[in-house]
Amino acid sequence: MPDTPSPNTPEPVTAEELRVLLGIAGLTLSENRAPEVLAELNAQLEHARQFDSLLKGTREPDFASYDPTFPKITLEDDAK
Amino acid sequence: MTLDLATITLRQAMNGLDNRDFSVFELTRETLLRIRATEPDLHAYVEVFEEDALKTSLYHDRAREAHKAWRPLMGLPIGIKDIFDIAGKKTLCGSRIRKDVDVAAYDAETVHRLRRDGAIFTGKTVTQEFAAGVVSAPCRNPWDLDRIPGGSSGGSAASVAIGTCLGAIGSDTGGSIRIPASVTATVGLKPTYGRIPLKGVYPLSPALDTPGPIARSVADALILYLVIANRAGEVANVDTMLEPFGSKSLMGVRLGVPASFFTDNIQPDVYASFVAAIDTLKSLGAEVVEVEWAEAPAARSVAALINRVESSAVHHDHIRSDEADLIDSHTRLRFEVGALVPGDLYLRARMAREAVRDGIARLYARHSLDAIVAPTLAATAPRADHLIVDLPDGPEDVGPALTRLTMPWNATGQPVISLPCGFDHDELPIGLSIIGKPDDEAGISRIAHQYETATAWFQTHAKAEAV
Repeated sequence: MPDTPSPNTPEPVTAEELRVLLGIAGLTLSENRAPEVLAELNAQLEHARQFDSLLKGTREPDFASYDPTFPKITLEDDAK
Repeated sequence: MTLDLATITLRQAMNGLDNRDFSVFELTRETLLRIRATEPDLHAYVEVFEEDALKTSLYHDRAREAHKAWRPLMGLPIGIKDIFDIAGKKTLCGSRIRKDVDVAAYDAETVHRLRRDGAIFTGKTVTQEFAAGVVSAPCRNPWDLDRIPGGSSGGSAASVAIGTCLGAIGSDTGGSIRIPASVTATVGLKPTYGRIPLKGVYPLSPALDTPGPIARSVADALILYLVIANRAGEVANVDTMLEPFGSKSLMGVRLGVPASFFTDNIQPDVYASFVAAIDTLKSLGAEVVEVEWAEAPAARSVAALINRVESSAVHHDHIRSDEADLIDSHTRLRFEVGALVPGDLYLRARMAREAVRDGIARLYARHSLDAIVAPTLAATAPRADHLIVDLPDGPEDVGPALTRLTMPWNATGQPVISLPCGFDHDELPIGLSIIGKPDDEAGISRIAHQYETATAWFQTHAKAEAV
């Protein structure tokens, strides 16, 4: 695994950036919970560093197949 | 055959019913009495279906007397993790936020298949809230009531271990079948991802969620797997499916033992049991080769990140509602943090998952492996009042400590069976994992059965008197 972060993986989030992210996500936290959320978020971002090296040289993105079949919608459902 | 719920397996009970050694009613009544006796201390059940179970048992006795079409689980007591819908029952998911939820209108597809094939549901078993964790409070471990039963399918494993059902259904997103199986000396089978329907199962992370059985023996786990995989017709052939590979029971079987990631920083007793298990597998004729899966830490990270982001999306409304405080603080934290992870990282995790899968496929091909064997967990069950795991590199929080070795296999989606392989110095169970190629549930069960037959662990049981 790489010792240094790849340019594709984010730097650790700061407390100020966390407030912005929370606003975007529509989440409100009491001030005393912010440190644990920040620590956990940065732990999750650290995961990205673990797998980032695997993506070098991989083929074009190939996400799981998307089924475009429309669900059955009755006129009664549609009117709700 | 005598009806001793402390030791009887699902398959032995099938034979006992077929031979009329006891009736379905007697089996059901004894199971319910055992639940009454153990539940005040064990807390494996959220709800027990006494009346339903007794009524259904009478129906199955009449059906057996009338020689109606034989179904493999006809009259056998099965527990259901409380994230699976059972028609007419609430699916509470271990969460206060769902206390007023309506009863389910339909059975989950897995529940439907079990019911159709004759299972009698003893009740809903305890789950960690929304299947997101490894503690499963208030349920305790029947081997030591001061310890956790693992999770998130902790109630399912505890009830199987103590004999208050003869098999149970759990789900595995990051280890939630294998972890409780390992710490309760039961057998847990995580099937190949995507093969068992998720309809009617409350989601945690749909890209990883996998329903599967917890049982008292490998044969029992395979039988339950065949039923929920809609292959009940094959149950009659289980003996053939589990037969030895040759004059030595594992002759010609090639097993990989992954170095470093799966053996570093694990408790010494766990390591010693694993080494002894490898020796046993060799003595049975298996060819064992050391392999290096360098992507294992990345596989764990892929599963962890996908899990966090998807579970946050599932609980989008919950964590933004006035009732968010009703969710356990740790569970709420993981759901909230998942909402803050950039979307491109989630998509890159999905891409990396394919690279991980390709890498493990190459490893199996390069070494001509039939399966990989590894310790299921780095540790035995920690105390419920001290959720820290002591490891050689230092103490670690119970969540990451118990999921470290299980999550990589959720990323790859391979089938894994965990079975008992020993006990530590506190007489706490230790689990061994056998990891197969996709769709080779029968193959890993066959290997596991040879090990189980050659060792005594399968015949060691938790004692209800201690509960």
